[in-house]
Amino acid sequence: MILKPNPSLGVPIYLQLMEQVKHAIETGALKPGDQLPGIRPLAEELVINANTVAKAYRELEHEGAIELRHGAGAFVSAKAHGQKLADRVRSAQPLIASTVERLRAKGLSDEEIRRLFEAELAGYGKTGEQRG
Amino acid sequence: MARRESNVVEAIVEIADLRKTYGGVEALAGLNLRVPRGAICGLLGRNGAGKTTALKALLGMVRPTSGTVKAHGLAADVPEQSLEIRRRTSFVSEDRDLYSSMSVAGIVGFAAGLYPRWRADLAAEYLRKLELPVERSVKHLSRGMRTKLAWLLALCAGAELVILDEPTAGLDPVATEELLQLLVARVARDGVTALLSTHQLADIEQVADHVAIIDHGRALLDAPLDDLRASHRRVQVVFAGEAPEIAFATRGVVSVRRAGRVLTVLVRADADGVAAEARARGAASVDVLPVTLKEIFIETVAEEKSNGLG
Amino acid sequence: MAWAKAWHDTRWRFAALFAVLVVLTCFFVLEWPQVQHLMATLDPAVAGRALGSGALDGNAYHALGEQIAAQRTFRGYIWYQWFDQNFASCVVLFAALLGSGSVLSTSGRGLLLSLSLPVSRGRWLEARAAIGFAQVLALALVPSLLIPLLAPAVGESYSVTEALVHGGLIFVLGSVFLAVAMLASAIVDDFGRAIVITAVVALGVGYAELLLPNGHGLFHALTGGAYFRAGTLPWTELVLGVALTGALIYGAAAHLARRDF
Repeated sequence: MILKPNPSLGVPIYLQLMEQVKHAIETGALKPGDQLPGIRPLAEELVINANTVAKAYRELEHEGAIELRHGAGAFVSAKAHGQKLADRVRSAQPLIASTVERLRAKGLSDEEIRRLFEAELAGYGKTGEQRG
Repeated sequence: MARRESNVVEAIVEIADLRKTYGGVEALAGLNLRVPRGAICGLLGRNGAGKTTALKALLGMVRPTSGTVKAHGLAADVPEQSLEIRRRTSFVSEDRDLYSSMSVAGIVGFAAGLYPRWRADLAAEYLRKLELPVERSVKHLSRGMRTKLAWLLALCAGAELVILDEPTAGLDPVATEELLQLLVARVARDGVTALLSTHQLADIEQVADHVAIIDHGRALLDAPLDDLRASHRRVQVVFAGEAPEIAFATRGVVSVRRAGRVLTVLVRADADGVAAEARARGAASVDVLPVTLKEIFIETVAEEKSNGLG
Repeated sequence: MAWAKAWHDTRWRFAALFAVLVVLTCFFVLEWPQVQHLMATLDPAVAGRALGSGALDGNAYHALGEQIAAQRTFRGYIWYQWFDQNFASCVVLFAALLGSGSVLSTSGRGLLLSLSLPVSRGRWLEARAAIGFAQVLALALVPSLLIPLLAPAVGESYSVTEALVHGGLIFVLGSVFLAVAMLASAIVDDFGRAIVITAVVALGVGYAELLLPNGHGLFHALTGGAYFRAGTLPWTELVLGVALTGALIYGAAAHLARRDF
């Protein structure tokens, strides 16, 4: 499930591992409560240093993405996925609020604002930079 | 695990100011090296840099001209202590030097009788995994099989320190991965320390957590690999016209290469300082990029050479 | 385990040399009837001319006469032709062959393995020396003991004690050169060169001893001439032989300990 890191990238292997785990959590491949492979078995499977795996897990725990339960192993944090989503939604809130304010100030009605948003999300509107 | 909270890291190998002269040739010129316990340490260096001499000094095969060389806290140049070191240390030699007239089973049995903490369980497992023909005589083994056998003897010796000299040279990628996996497993399960002297940088990047670079009998670098990766950067600076010669004031510059409009600067610290200086000199674009171990090695050695020590 | 390796490294060599000596001994004993016949017809004067020394003067004539007279007996034949000449030379040469070659490896392979194992260099040498001495002892005593065993087959008898004494003395002689070979090997490591060095030393000692009064010197005394003639043992040379062997082995150990590999 976890892909072999590329040692020659110049990017530390533990960072690559962390990215993979975080990506897996975001895409739902790893759900809250799922157990991650043990440090030693994972090191042996990927043929990398166990210290590297340990470091990646420690950093992930530090960031709140996983929990290390002593004796039991590493588990995806119950709030990990939800936490990120909630964070993102929360940080998006002020942006939406200020945009809506400005559009209203220009004299647009709420109905017109809603249609603009929908059109934009459907891809018919024109914006400064196309987001992939 | 290489860096702990305490300042003093337990070093399983301690080499201080080691010098060795063989009939006029100075193989080691004041080598300093500390290998932390439980680490997989890569020893890099050009041919003739002194790597094998250092390993031989650790194993009591050569006597230092001066300086100290210790393993497991014991002095390698005192015969009785060297014997104790060898009870706890095993070795894969570059030539896979084994007893040619013994059979595979014979040589395994021989080693088993000499190492006090021999792991018979691992030996049985590895003979199977590595598909070594137990009845065949060593002289009839291919080089690849001799390499695997040498690894088996070293990994099953029950040693706390395993020293490997060019251990994957001549191996196909499948065999290399197989053996590295066994090494990683031994280190992870039993806290074995591995000292890997090699030219195969890819192996080091994959499994090592500590790296030392030796050149002309001295250590140029001795640091955790992640630290090297974190601190070393390639700063690529592009100018609109011919790139000027810049003498960077920022400390930590390893080397500067100029080619047409591009300046490539390898830094071991403070990449941002270099980037800022480059911009101040009118660079059109400045990119800070990660560096591979190969570049770190080549540039560090080249710079030492141009500093007049070559 | 080091002993097992020392045996393993030299076993074929030893087996071959042992077989050669056993076969030679048998031939030598079984040839006695023909030799006896030949000896009966030999006259010192004729022998002298045949050897090309022309007219022999008093001493040489008598010495030759004594030799020929003694060799008319089985005991004399065995001592003069076998113990004093062929057998002694063989044992010295074979001891050198057994002692040559690196103490640490077979034919140069496995040197670094031996050095990396938890075995001291002294122990490798000790094992090789012990096995070597045992082998030279076997080479010296077993063929010797064959003589009393085979003598009846040619209608003669030979004293077991005598066989043991001569065999034992030759063992000491052989041991000296086993030790020379081991010292040479400790210095040069190479089988071929060690043999050559040992051979040169043996020849050198042999020739140097010609300057000594008759009957003395390692080669002359340790073949048991004094015992053959008068039943006395060459105590001086025995002690010298043992002391030399010890000193040479010690030298080999000291050199090995200091060497860089």
